[in-house]
Amino acid sequence: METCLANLFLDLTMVKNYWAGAKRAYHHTAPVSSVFPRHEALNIVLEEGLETRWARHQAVHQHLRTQLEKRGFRFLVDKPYRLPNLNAVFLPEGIDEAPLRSKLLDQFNIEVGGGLGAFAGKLWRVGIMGESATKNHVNMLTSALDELM
Amino acid sequence: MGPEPSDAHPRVLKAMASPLIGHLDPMFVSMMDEVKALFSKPF
Repeated sequence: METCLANLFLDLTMVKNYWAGAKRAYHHTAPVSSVFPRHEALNIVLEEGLETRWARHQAVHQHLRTQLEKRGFRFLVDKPYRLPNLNAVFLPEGIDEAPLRSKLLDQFNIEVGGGLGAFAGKLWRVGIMGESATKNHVNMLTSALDELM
Repeated sequence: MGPEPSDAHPRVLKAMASPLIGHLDPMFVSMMDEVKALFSKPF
């Protein structure tokens, strides 16, 4: 059964018509300051090239993996199923994750994510995405860990 | 280096700091069309 949406903000048909083309049906005032950076970000992605970008994330992931495993971290997910840009890793034996995570943030300005749900307090989620997917980021993290652990 | 947000490219930060124009300004309207076209490439 088709019914009209009671909520204007959730009415995607109206949003679609607003973005449709030269004849714009008013739905909202576009967030101009959000569209500018979106436009720029998409251009940056296409200038680098999708394939090159994927390869960069994969290379940085391999570097992160080598460096973390060398220090006793273990990956949660089996190799074929890993997402290169978000790495869930168990900490080395005997290390309390929360204090170490706080020190990383307080002393080195590096934020990593803690585990969620059943993994709370047990693992870290380390992101290497977009501009953060560089070997320098990984080196910064592992050097800080060497000082703290 | 958490699960998000990630660092933003300096060009993106600069775009975020750009002076605003009207949402019906022809320049903005054509940018909306460009954004739609750009989105269709990586996704």
